[in-house]
Amino acid sequence: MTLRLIAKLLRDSRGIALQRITLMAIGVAMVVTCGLTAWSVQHAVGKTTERIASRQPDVIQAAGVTGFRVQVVADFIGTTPLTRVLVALPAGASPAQDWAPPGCAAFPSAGQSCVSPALAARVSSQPGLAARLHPGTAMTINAAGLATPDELLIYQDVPVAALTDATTADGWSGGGIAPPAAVSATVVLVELSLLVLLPAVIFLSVAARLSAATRARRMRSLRIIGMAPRQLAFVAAAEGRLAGFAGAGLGIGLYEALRAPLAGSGLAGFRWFTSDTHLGAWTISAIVAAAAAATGALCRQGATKATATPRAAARPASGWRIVPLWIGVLTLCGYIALHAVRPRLGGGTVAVVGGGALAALGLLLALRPLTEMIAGALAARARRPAIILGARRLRFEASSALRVLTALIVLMFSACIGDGALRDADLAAGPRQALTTVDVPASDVGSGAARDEVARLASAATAGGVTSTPTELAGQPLSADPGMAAIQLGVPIVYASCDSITRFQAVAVAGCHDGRSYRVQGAGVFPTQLPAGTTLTVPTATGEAPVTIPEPTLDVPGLGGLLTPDSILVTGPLAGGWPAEAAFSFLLPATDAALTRFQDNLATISPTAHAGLQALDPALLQAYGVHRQIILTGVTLGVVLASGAFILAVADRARERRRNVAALVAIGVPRRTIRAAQLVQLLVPACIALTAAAVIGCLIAEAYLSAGGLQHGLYLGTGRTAATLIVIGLTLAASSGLIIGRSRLRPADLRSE
Amino acid sequence: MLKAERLRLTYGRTVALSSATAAVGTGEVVALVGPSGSGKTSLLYCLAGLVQPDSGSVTFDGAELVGLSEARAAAIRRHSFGFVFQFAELVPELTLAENVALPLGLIGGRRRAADFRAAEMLARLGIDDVATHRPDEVSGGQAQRAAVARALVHRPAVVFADEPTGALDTANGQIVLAALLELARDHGSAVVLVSHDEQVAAAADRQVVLRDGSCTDGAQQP
Repeated sequence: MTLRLIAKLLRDSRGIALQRITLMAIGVAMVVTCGLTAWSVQHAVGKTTERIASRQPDVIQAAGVTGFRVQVVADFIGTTPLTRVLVALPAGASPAQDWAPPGCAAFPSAGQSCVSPALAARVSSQPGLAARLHPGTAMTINAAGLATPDELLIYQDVPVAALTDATTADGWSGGGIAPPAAVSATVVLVELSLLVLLPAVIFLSVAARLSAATRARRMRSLRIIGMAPRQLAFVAAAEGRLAGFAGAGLGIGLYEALRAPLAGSGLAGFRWFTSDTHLGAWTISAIVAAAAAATGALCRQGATKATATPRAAARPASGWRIVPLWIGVLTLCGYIALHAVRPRLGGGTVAVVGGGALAALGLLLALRPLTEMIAGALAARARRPAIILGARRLRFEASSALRVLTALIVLMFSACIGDGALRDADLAAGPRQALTTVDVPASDVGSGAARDEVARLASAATAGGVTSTPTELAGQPLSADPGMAAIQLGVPIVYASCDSITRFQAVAVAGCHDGRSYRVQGAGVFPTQLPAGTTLTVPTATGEAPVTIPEPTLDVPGLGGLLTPDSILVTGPLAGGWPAEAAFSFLLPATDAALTRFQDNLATISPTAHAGLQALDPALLQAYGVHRQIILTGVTLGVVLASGAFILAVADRARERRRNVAALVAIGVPRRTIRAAQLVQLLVPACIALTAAAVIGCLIAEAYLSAGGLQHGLYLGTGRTAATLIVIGLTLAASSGLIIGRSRLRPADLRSE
Repeated sequence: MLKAERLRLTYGRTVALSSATAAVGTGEVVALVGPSGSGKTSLLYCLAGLVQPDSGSVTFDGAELVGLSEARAAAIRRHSFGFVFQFAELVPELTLAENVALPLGLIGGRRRAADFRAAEMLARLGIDDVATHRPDEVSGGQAQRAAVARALVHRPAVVFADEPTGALDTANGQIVLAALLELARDHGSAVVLVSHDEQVAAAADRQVVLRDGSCTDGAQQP
């Protein structure tokens, strides 16, 4: 009986039910496609980490087990990470079957390597890279051994003696400790949930509430004739289930069609393997069932709500709803202001999370009274009928006018917070300056002659220097005071020309003359601990020699760079004979080309040498790049969903109000007046809600950055993001208002009830 | 003043009007009567310029309404016509006073003057005590009286009333009809009303009977 009734209601609704189901199905399809895209990005990040973890060498702990020697070098080509896995067979050993690196046909024999396709392509296009890596006869790593299709990875056979920090392993099953993932899949999930899934859920709820008033009237009629509540619920949910089923199928089909282009597009800052985001039969069934159930439940709830709250019952919102917003805003502003005065202020997490949540939720609560108040004032003062009509409608339908904006408001919060978090990640990755410092530990460079060669690379750099911390103080007994002893042992000696020091410190170092030694004293730093005349053993060109702490002091404002308080500066050309604890520092242009050239030159001197980028953290830089792309992709998908939800909800409201509009047209209200009233009704709440959400979002982002401690002064980037979203929202509101005001009068609209 | 000649109107395959002819003189009250589906409302909509007929002619003060642009037709309705529908059709978000003042605002009247005139009309119809209420806060009869006030507040030449008492009980129906006719006479407005109710039709100066989309108005004949 109920099924027959449902079929009849669908068939006899003059196509309106079919139109509604189609719209809902399109909505569900959009949500499923966007949701699956978000899932595939998150899943690909997780899979990448899994792939890296599962190919770690199995380090042999027990004695007497034969294995190969292996050393993993986290290198870079420019600022792009390059993983070099150096392997060597002990003398007389022959490789076992499972020693072959993952994805490689065999264990690289002498002079052989196994190279990822992306690295092979780079090597063939960059001659300097071939000279640096010496790939020899190269095998290719297949997909099974790669984290991503673009990964730069090489397994390379080297002589045992060339390995400076090797371990012994007997396989690659992931028994070792995996390096920490550059990008956390959990963080990606949070980002995408805020930016995509939340707008998607709102979109779905809007789609499920389409024609709620019409359906509520129908439900009332059915209830009057004695239909049981359970039957009514079934009828209300039937359309939703049908739309959910069709929409989920459509969405999955669309996702399957987009899967390969998505994997290869780099939309998340990296490419992934298409096979990693395959949907199984169970997953597909679960998605279809969940979509049908969720849409059905939302439809049922929408119909019930519409029945329970007729418009006559709507009362103006209480003014108390503004209170949480004020508390939240005051908390955030107070924290930002206090933090500006006292940068070491604690309680950042409480202020940002507590204040942010109060402000965001408070705004959602306060928007209705604010909109009602502004619309009421506007209607009371207006003279034009269009403004009076629009403002009065807004005054009495503030909650539904704001409901259509919910997805945009949520997206505004998410985008602003995401922008703040991105800025923090950017600052953590390193300052974007023209020059960057590259450090090479002397311990990575095998022989003394090679270290001298590395020191000579300074001639091709903007500046060069060596920092060495002597292991003992000759002729000076260690202090019984541990703190003092640490200072005695830890005093660094910096070798550099006065010109280099000026470049490293980025300030003119007054009173420095090449060929002399100085004690360094920074302004405001504790006074020099080591008295002049103390003798230290330091490296020289001919070996080691005692150096007496000089009397003249050099005042360097700000310090940083190579110099630290209490360090000894030995000026002049770099001498040579550097001990293992020395570190070579070079100041280079922070460009990929300059860094790659330097890395190539370094590799020709010592293949095991590793150049660390001091100011820039490439791992964080890579993570920043990925997060940036994910947030950009998330915001784009979120804008699509939020705009879709907005247009759908506005169109539905206009259709529900068709009868009122028809009556106005009949009494001669000009179309432009109806369009203007529609504009007022959409633009006023859009202005209020989006501007308020932008202000709150920017405040939360600013407080987040203050708590992070890396941002100094106000960050205006969030304001730009918010302004872009405001423009998108207002454009949407304006264009929807103009398009919807164009519908033609049908006599049936005046007669049907 | 208002004439319709040989009007034909179809909705898809349904013929609403086959050949309808009617005329309304200044200050005259004309009732369109006939069985359900005979085309009464369709003729009313054609006369009011709400619907464009497939063929035929509608003239108002000598000017042709058929073929006018939507904006021009709306301007004539705004200035010269008033409407009362079966279900009041007031703007739900405006108070009764604002609803009544709306037509004056639309033709460029000052807000204060419009408010004053609306209050006057509501007082005349005995609903000034609910002037600040919204339509969903008053009874059906009060809402319909406000609709009558809205239809006549700008002193239109013709008031079109489509089943004005159809949704009301007898007592309220009589009050609304009396108010409509009295105000129309005071303002010198003609009234074209559609009704099934014989008593309502009897209150008109003249009746035009429709049957199967066709009628011939005696007043047209030379």
